[in-house]
Formats: sequence, C-alpha cells, structure tokens
Amino acid sequence: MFEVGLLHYMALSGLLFVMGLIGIVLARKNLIALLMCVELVLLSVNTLFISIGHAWGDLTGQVMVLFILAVAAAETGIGLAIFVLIYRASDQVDLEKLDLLKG
Amino acid sequence: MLSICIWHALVGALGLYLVPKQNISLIRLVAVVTALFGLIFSIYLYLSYDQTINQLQFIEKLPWIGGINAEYFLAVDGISVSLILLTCLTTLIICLMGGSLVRQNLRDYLAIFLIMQSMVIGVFCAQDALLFFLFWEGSLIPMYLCIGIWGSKNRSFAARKFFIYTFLGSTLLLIAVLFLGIKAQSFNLANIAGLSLDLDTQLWLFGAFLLAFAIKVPMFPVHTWLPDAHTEAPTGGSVLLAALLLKVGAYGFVRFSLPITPDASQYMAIPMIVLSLIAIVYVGFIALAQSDMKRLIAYSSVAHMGFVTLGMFGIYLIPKELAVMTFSGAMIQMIAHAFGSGAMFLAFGMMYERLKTRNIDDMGGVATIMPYLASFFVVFSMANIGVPGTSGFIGELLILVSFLKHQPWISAIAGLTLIISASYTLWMVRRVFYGPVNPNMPLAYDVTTHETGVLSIFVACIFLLGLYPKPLGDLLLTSSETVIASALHSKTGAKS
Amino acid sequence: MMSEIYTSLAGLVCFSPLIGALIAGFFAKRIGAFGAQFMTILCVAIAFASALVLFNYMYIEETRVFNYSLYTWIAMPGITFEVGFWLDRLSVGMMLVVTAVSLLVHIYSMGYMKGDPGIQRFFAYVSFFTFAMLMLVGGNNLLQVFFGWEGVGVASYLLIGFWFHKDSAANGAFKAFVVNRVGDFGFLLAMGLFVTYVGSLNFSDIFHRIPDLAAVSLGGMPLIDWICMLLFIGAMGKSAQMPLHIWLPESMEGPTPISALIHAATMVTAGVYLLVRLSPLFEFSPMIRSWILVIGATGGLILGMIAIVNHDIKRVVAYSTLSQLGYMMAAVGASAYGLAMFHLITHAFFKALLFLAAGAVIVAAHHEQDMRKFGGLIHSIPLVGVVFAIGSMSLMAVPLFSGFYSKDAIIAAIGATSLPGAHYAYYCLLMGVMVTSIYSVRAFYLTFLGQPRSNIHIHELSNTIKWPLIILAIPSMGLGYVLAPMAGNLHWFGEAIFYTHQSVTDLAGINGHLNHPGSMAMDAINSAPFILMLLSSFATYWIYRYSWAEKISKIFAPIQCLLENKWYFDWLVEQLLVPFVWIFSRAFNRVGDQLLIDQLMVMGPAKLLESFSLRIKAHISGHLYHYAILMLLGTAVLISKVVMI
Repeated sequence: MFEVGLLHYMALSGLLFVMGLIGIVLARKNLIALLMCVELVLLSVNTLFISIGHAWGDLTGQVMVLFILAVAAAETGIGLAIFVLIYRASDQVDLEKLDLLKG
Repeated sequence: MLSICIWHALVGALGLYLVPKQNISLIRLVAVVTALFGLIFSIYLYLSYDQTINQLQFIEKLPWIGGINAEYFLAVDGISVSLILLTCLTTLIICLMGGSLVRQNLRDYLAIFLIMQSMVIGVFCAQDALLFFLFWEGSLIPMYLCIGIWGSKNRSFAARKFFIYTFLGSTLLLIAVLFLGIKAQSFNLANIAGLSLDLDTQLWLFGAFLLAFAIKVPMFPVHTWLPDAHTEAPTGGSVLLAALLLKVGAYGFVRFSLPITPDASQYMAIPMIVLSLIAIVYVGFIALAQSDMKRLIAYSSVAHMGFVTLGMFGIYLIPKELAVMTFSGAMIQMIAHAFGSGAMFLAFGMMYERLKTRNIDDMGGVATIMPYLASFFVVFSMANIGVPGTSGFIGELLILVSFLKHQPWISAIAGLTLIISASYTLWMVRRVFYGPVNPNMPLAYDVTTHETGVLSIFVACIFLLGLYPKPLGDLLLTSSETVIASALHSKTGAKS
Repeated sequence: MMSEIYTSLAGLVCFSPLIGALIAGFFAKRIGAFGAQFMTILCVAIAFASALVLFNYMYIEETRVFNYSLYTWIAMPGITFEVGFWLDRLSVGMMLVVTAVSLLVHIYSMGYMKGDPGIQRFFAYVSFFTFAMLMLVGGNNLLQVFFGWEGVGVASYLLIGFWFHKDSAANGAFKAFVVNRVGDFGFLLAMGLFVTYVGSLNFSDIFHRIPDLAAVSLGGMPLIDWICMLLFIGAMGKSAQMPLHIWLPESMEGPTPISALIHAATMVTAGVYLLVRLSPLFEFSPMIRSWILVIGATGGLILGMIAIVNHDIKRVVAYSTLSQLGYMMAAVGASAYGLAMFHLITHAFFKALLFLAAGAVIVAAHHEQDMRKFGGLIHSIPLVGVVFAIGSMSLMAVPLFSGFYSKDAIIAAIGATSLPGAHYAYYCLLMGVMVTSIYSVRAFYLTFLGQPRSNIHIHELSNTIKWPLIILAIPSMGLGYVLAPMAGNLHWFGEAIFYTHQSVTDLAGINGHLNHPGSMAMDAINSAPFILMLLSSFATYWIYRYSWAEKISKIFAPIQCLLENKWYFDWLVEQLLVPFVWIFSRAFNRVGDQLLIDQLMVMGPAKLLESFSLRIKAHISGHLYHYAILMLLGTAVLISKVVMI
C-alpha cells in the first residue's frame, strides 16, 4: 500500500475533468448524458478545491465547494426542467436533432 | 419642486395600471388629470421663475452615484422653463385626444406618453451630464414602443430604424460624457463647462455631440429616419415626435456643444450653417415632391428645424447684440414649430381616422366634406408658412433679419423659405382640401366637438404666441444671453 | 385728451372690422346669414364713420402727425418691435378710401352672394381683409405694415379660393399667394436691413436716420438703393408689377365683389402706398426710381394691351387694373407721390365701380362672363350700362371725369422729369391711353351695344346691388374735380411725403395746372392724350359697329397671338419655371434623399452588416457540442495566453 497524497487527488481531478470534457464533446446522442458530463467537470473542480484546501490547511476551499454544490444543484434543476420542456415540445432529447439555431 | 414636475407623470402612468383595462373612461380621466396637473404645475413654475435673475433656479441636488461624483442635480433656466411648458401642453393635448385616435391598448398608449413626458422634462431639467444622458435615453424607449406597437403597416422597420439611428448617436454622446466626467472629476455641467480643453479635444467632443444631437434634431444629411418614423408612428407619436423629441436634440446643442466646446463650435460654425441652409432649401424642395401627406409634413419639420440650428450657430458670425436676437429667434422657432407641425400632425391624424389614406392623390376636395377640419388645417398651414400674426413668423423674422448686415448671403438663402414653404404647404392644401371632391374617398363626417376643442387649443397657442410673443421673448432673453456668453468665451486661451 | 381721442378712433377704425369678422366667423351658425351680414356691415360702418372723424381732424383741423405704440410685440436687446399707429394725412386718407369702398362692397355682396351656402364665411373673410388692410395702412412701423401686408395676402388667398371646389379657383389662390411671397421675400430682407442698420422699424426712426443711411454702401451699391430695390420687389408682388403680375388675372376666379375690393381698389394698391409712405427713402435713390418708372410704364402699356383681345369681362377689367397700377408706379418713379395717391384714390372708386358693374352684368346674365355672348344689354339693364360707361370714361380719362385729372397729371409729370428712362415711360403711357380707350370701348360695345348674341334670360338685380353702383358712380365722376386743387398742392398730404429740391422743381408746373380743374379740362382738348383717346375710341366704335374686328385681327395676327398668350409670361412660368422646379424637387427626392442618403448612407452600412452576418450564419450548425468545442478552444487559447504572460 502507498500513501495517497495531494498529487493523486489532483490526478484524479484531472482525470475526471478530461472525462467530462470528452463526454461533453462526444456525447452526441443524449442530453442527459451531456448534463452528467457537465456535472463531472464541476465535481473535478470540487475535488481539487477540497484536496488543495486540505493540503494547505485553508477552509476557504471547502466553503467554495459548498457554493459550487449549491449552484450545480440549481443548474441541474434548471437544466432538467429545460430538457423536460424540450421533450414535451419535440418528443425527443436527441442532440443531433436539436439544431434550431442552425444558420 | 422640479422632481414633482418630472416624476408626477410617471406616477400617473403607474396609476393607470391600477385601473382595470376595460374601464376606458376612467383611464382617460386619470391620464388627462395627470397631464393637466403637469400643465398647471409648469405654469406655476413659469410664474414663480424669476426672470430678472441671470442664473439657474429651483436647484435640487442630491448625491447619486458617489464613486464618480454623479449627482441628481436639477435646475432650470428660461429656456428650460419654456420647453417644460411646451412639453406639458403637448402631453395634455395627446392625452385629451388619445381615446379617439387609438382603440387598442389605450392604457399602455397613454402610459407611454406620460412616461415620455417624465423623461423629456427630465432632459430639460438635468444639470448633470450623466443624469441628462439617462433621461435622454429614457425618452428613446417609449417612442420606440409607441411606433412599434401602434404604428401603421411598416412600423417595425421604422421603429428599428428610429431606434438604431438615434441610439448610434447616443453611444458617442455617452463616451464624450464619460470622458468629460472623468476629466472634470464631476458630471456637473457647470464644472464640465469650466474645463479648459484644447481645440483638438474640443473638435472630437464636438463631433460626438454633433452626431448625437444632429440626428435627433434632425439636421441634413442625417434626417432620413424622421420621415419614416413620422409616417409609421401613430398620431400621438407624430405629434410628440415633432413637438418634443426634435427639441430635445436642439436643446442638447444649447447645453453641450455651445458651452462645453465653444471653440470647436466657432470653428465649425460655417459648415453647420451651410448644413442648416441646405436643410431649409433642399429639404423644402424635397417636401414639394412628396405624395405622402405625412412625409410632406415631416420634411417641412426638417426644414423648419434648419432655422433652429441656423440661429444657434449663427451667433458666431455676428456681433453679440444681434447674436442674442438670432439665438432667441432659434429658441422661439423651436416652440413655434411644435405648434405648427404638431398641430398639422394632429389634424392629419383626425383626417386619417376617417379617410384611411396618407396618399395625397387619393384625396381632394376634403374642404367640401369636412369644412371645419379644413379651416383648422389652413390655420395650421399659415402658421407653418410663417404668416405674421402666427407663431411661425417670429423665429424666422428674428433669425433672418439679424444676419443681414454682416452675413447677407445667409439671409438671402434662408429667406427663400418664404417662397418654398408657402409652395409646398399650400400646394398640399390645394391638392388635399381644394378642388372637386375625389369620388374615391370614403364618406366621412366633420370634426366632432371634442376634436374641435383640442384643435382650438393649438389655434389659441398659435395666435397667442404670434400676436404677443413678448412674454416668451423676455423669458428666453437672459438665459440666451448667458448661453451666448459661455458660447463665445474661448477656452483654449485659458489653457497655457 | 386729443391723443386719447386719436387712440380710440384709430382702434375703432382698425379693430371693428376684425370684431365683425370674428363674430361672423365663429358664430356663423348661430346668427345666420343675415346676422353675419348685419354685424360685418355695422362694424365696417363704424370703421368708416371713425375714419371720417379722423379725416376731419387731419384735413380740416390741421393736425399734423400722430404716432403712438399700442403694445410691444417683442423686445430684443437694442431693438423693440412694436404694434402701433401712425396717423397723418396720408394714412387717414387711405383709411377713408379703404373703409368707404369696403362698406360699399359689403352692401353690394349682400345681393351678389345671395343664396350662397358659405355667405357667413364670405363676410368674415371680407371683414378680416378690411382689418388687415387697415393695419397695413395705419402701421407706425414696417413690421406692422408687413403684418397687414401678409394678412391681406391671406385674406386674398382665402377669397380667391372661396369657391374652393373649382379647380381654377384653387389654382388661382395658390398662385396668388406664392407669387406674392416672392415679393414678400424682398420686403422681409428690406426689413432686415432696417433692423441691422437703423436698429428700428419705426417710421420715425427710419426717417431720422436717412442721412446716415445715405452714406453707407453695400457691395458697391449704396445701401439706400438696396433697400429701395428690395422694397420695390415687395411692392411688385403686391401691386402686380411685371413680371410678378401673373397672379392678378387668375385672382378673378374669386367672387366679383372681392375683385372690386381687393384686386382693384385696395390690396393691389398697397405696394404703391408703401412706396409713397417711404418717399423720404425713395427720393434718395434715383436709380431705383428710374427702374420703377420704366417697369411701371412698360406694364402700363403692354399689360393693358392684353385686355384688347380678352373675352372675359372680368379679366378685361383685371388687365386694365394692371395697366393702371403701372401708371401709379410710374408716378412714384417720377417722384409724383401725391399724384400716385391721387390716381390711387380715383382709381379705387372708378375701378370698384367697373368691377361691381361687371359683377352686376354677371349676376344679370346668370354667371356668364364671356362678352361674346352678351350684346345689347343696355336695354335690359340700363342702370348698369350707364354706370359702366361712367366708370369707363373715368378710366379713359375723359375730361371732367375723375380719372382724367389724376391720369393726365401723371402723364404730364412723367413728361417733366429728368430721370433716365422718363422719355420711354412717357411714350409708353401715352400709348397706354390709346390702349385704354380701345379696350374700354370694346368692352362697353360688346356688352351693352349691338344686338344680343345669345338669348340670355336677364336676372332681376336687387337694390343692394344697384345702390352701391349709384353711390360709386358719384365719386367716379366728381371726385377728381374736387380733389384736383388739393392734389395740385405738392404737400396735400402734409409732411407725409418728402420731395427733394429737384423733384419740386420738376413737378411745379403740373401741380399749378391742377389748381384750376375747370380750365385744365378745357385745355386738355388740344393735348396729346385727349386726342389719342378720342381717335382710338371712335375708331374702336366704328370697328365694332361695322364688324371689322375679324378682318383687323387677321391683319395683326402675330400681335394678336402674342396678346392672347399674354406676352408669354404665363407660358414662361408654367412651361419653364414650374417644370424646372418640379424636376429639381423630384430629383432631390428620388436621387438625393432616397437613393444617396437613405439607401446608400443609412441603409448601406445596415445592408453590409446584414450580408456579412448572413455569410457567417451559413457556417453555424446549430449543434450544442460544436458550441461547446468552440467554447473550450476559446478558453484554452485565453488560458494559454495568460499562462504565457
């Protein structure tokens, strides 16, 4: 066994971030998946905040996380609400087909 | 005191929304009472204004935005008082007329005009550049909505053109105001005017002001939004546009260009006068060729406002005594134009209600079917032409005669308006009202008693002002002298 | 005490017609046609009576000048514009003429306008006109004169267009106003010169400062010449001098009483009155007077000639008015201001008589104005025939008739002046006498003598039409004889008229002549104007008696063509000037404003922006993940920049 250090947390956070980004870019099918990927990105930032805050002995990082969680929750709520409306209007949540802004 | 003058109309507008939408008579009552209150209040303002004192009066000063020293600073001089009176009178007339010219969303319609009254009076009272800008922009939005909602067929295009065009000018005004405010550490107009600026800076500032105000006045060649806006606007909008919004532009020249950038104004006086003369002669010719009655009146507005800018920038070319005369003439012309053009738009609105056309070729012999309306219209035409005894004459007379000794060419060219304005106005009257009745016109009834009453207010103003302009002249005189003194005071010399 | 009397009298003279007009105009429905007529006539009668009292003070009791200001119109630094009255022999005499003719025309109109639906409006307009004319005449400053000047213009516009449903009336009204405005342009500029050089528009100040003005020169021409030129341009418009006369014949579209009052007796003479009023100025501008002389005399001849070929009875009288106005102007040019006023006064009466008589013929003939359809009317309306003959003889300057004294004196005065152009003017006016006789005799013959040329059923004339004719016939015959001794005195208007020494010596002989009207009439028998008049009258009479008119017109075909086209003045305006203006305004509108400014300058950038955004728009997929990638890339670039710094 080895000691889990700051670097590992940062690596995990980076991994989550990249996964999230890839998901956002590649999730071409489903809106829900897109939303989950956005959440993943936020979580990666949270992880970073907590780990660095812990390492530096500064509570600000953890306070910030609480803020982010609140915002993320609100964001997810609104996002889901929008999806429901989209689904009601067009009977699907397929990203490929949602191109009303097409020029 | 001035705050009441400004905000009572806004309160009235909010009050309108307490009234249920269906209760039209109560809505009209509230609007008229608000406007009447404004008029009475402004008359009280006029009576308690001390004409002998040569300074700002009724000062109200509160800190507004502390960080940048912007203040809520209101005060008036004679020029402002006369324009406030005009504003209240115009709004009252529109509110009185409102119900019979607009049938849908009457509540919103009247509320918009009351809001506009607040904003316009705010412009005339503000002595703080930022506050001025706030009211200036504030008057834009109600007008945009007014054209966009109650306009005729092509309204959205006209509203957009009006908004973007005038807004373009305003952005430059904002930049100039911010620049000056930061430089003077204050947005107080008196402090800003006290800045010493070199000619280059002044020219840049003058350019920014010019674009903002010239578009609003409108001067040639940035006048083309006006015919579009006028033709599409509802009657009340047209009246207000002609009577007030154009004056706001000219007022801006008085408060900004002349005192803040006097050297640049002097430098640019000749080009400005040339543009004014073009507006008077060239636009007059254009008016002659119009086949749309409202466009014709709009173009005549441009030509008449040419006199205002001519009188304002002419002060640099003639000695001071004559300068006071020509400048007062310009201010009087502003007021007189409101009565001439505004009244014509109102009378036209009544005709449009009945005939549903703006095209002159579709009319003819209207005097036979609507003799009273025709009589009113002829009176307004005479005021528009500037027949002595009507309001339109005084300003033109004072401006024309004051140039003759030193710049006779200006008088000679501007004097052509006597012939041109008579031609286009009476040619319109001849085609619309005289001659045999056009068989294609719908059957129409003459003006009602209510409409006669409203039009009579304009007639009374036209003759009152035309036959006895001395009170107005006295009101404007000392303020004009102050403005001219600061406009002629060079700033580059002060800077070493 | 006296000043209060003057103030109230002048107020009564000027404002009572206004009150009448307002009552007739605003309470038209309530007081009805008769009420409106009664009120306006009463008010004008009051004005006339007050004018008589003033006349008594000025002429019999020898008051000199009374000048007072009613109120300050507007005050500017260095100058106050006022409204006030200037009473002297000149203005009071003119007031008397105006109110007298106006009163008679009011009465006459009761019969003439009977049954017209707009009768209250008509009387309101006529009374308003009287008011404006009196303001013009009585003003103590140029601004008030200008107020009256434009006021009569407006009244004339409204009255010419009284029957506004007729196209011709509408056009005539429009033309009259706009052409007059050309003159007003000159007037306004002249006022500007007074304001800037004298600092006042009051007559008293202006007259005091004339010696100073004489020294100033502007652009190579003496200032006084400029002022006089501009004022004369103003007078050309109002008094219908060439080439601004074109509106007067068209004004005949208005009701005939109007033609008598406005377009013969009063308004058109306002220009002459103005120049006489400002005689102290014109005396110092011989050059402009020379021009006035030439233009007036030319008009006196050639505009009268048009009347020879015209068939409309009213237009014949209108052209004769143009010709007589030319005589008055020429008299002003020759410094014979008193004689110009003399002719103005006699002309006011005999020309009003002629117009009203013509109107009576028109009423009798059921609104037929074409003389070719008349003939032999003397048998059916003898009274009208007689008064028409009296008017014509006065116009033709038959000795002892009033026109004789004023007209012959003018011709003699012009013969005596030494101004450049005086000889030309003299012969023009001498020829003009011939022309006057020809058209007068022709009009009288065609209307009243010979055989009826169409069966016109004669309409009965009412007393309100007949009595004014009879009353006007008296001054048309005798006024000249009565006034001649007064006019013989150079200073019969007191100090209102100023003469230079030169003018006094020039005019001395003529005026001596006028002092003995009886012997003047006897002497005239072997003078050139009388012989010419007699010859041409008889020649015309024989020509029509034996129907030679056709043959003669064939001989003079080119001249006839010229005259029938009114010397092509109207053609010039209608075919050249108007299309020119029209093309310009259309081009300005289409090319200048709509294309260059609106489409190119204003909508141009907007269009450019639009096409730009359309092009970009084509590359927008609308997919959310594309936006996301772009956003990420953007952030990445931003961060990398920050990191690099």
